[in-house]
Amino acid sequence: MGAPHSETVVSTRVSEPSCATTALSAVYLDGVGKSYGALEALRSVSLSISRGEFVCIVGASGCGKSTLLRMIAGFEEPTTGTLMVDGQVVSGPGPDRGVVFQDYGLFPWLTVAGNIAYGPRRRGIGRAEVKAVVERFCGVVGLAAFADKYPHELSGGMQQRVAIARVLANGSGVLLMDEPFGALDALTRSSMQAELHQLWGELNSTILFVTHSVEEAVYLADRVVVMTGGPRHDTPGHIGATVAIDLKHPRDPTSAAFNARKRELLAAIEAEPTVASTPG
Amino acid sequence: MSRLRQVLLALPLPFVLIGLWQVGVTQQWELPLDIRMANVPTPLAVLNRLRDFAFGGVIDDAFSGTFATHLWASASRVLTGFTWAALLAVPTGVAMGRSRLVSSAVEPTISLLRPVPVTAWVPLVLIVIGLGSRATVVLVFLACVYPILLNTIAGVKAVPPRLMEAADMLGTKPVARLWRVVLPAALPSILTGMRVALGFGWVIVVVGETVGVTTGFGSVIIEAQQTSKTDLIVAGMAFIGLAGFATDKAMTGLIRVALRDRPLL
Repeated sequence: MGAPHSETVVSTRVSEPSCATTALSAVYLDGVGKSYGALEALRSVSLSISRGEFVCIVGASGCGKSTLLRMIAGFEEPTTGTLMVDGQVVSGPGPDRGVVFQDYGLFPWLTVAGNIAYGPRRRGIGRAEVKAVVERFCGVVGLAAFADKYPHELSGGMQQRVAIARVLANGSGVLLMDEPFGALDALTRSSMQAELHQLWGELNSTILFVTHSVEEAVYLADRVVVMTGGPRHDTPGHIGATVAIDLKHPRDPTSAAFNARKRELLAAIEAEPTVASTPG
Repeated sequence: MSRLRQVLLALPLPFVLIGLWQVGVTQQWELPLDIRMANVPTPLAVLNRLRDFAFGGVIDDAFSGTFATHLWASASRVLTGFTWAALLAVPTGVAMGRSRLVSSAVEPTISLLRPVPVTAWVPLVLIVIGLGSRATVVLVFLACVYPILLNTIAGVKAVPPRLMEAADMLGTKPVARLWRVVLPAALPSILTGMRVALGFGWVIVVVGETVGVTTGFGSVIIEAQQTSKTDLIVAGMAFIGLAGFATDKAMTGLIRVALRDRPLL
């Protein structure tokens, strides 16, 4: 099982998942494929993410990285393969997997506090406890002074903080982030990256983060999954390489080691995709 | 300051128009299209009639002090027809906006019926239902139903799929999506449709009241026409305009309260 690796990446490859890791994995994919009618978008994706791991998925547009994330979120069903989160086969969206969208997806008719309280309220948690949760996570993302504002009154960076607080407040152990900082300006983006990394350290969550920025991936991730393929290459999207980023935090994007990882990833992204193995 | 400026800018035109009106009537102007100003009541006559119609004590005829009666008659017909229309159109619109099946089954019929103007329904409605208040209510209903229906469908169809995904991943049960996402997201559009419908309702209630009823602003101006009380006709027109204006203001106030300061999607 598993796709053969591109030979351009050698030094920091991480081993393929095996069945033994299923129980320990926060997210486990084995031979996952997705087809839309005759179009095969993804083929034979196998990946195992441990609890508390921060994994970034990078790849050119059309490689299927967002599709992969949406399948883990339960918005779309895999055509083939096994997809498990916390040892349970995924069958639709659920509060155990919090999704952070690039366009925030906040409810415009609810205040910041209302958006953060939405998930806990659906779980039938008592009024006082919801209030405490809202206060806590407003504070965690630095929006305590904005609790009564509506999303349209906030900047993009602040709206994305609300979206992150909303899934954290819902107790989601796995965060699925689909280019969450893609719509933000460069300065906001880099401060959000630093904040997110700090949050991840404090809250012990598992994060799967899709981005097309190699720098962002090297800055944030324990491990970067490079996806290749897609319509431009005339092959289904698949994992081209997996690269561990073993740099200490806080990472310095101007350092030589950081740039070496960036070059390695860029080479993996630009490498001609190998034909993915047939699903089995 | 800019508020004062707006008032100062808006004031002269009505005074000029009233002045021209007064001069035109006293000089018995003959305007193009056979408009004979001699047949128009003077502004003062209309003002007297407005006072008499509202409070009595000036002219002392059958219409003195009857404003409240007629306002209540017209307003209750508008609100009854409007309410029935909203009760039918909002659920139908939600179903049509959410389900392609329902939409395919219902939409073609509505597209065929909609181009028939409400005024063209009047003769049939009067025969089928008979003269009286109920016929007017049905006409108001017909006028209100389309704007509410079409705006509800549009609002429901425009609910961003992203919000449905957000609700799903936060643990919203599928049956609760309607209350939690669809209706709140479509609410601005639904309320806009209701506002338009109320305006139409006030137009059509006057048409309906011109036949077979003895109360309501429409019957007032028709009776005034039959007895050549031009001052009463203009006074009635003024009150119809004010009633429609006040209803619209009430509706926009209600919308503002319902939506607070959230943006219109």
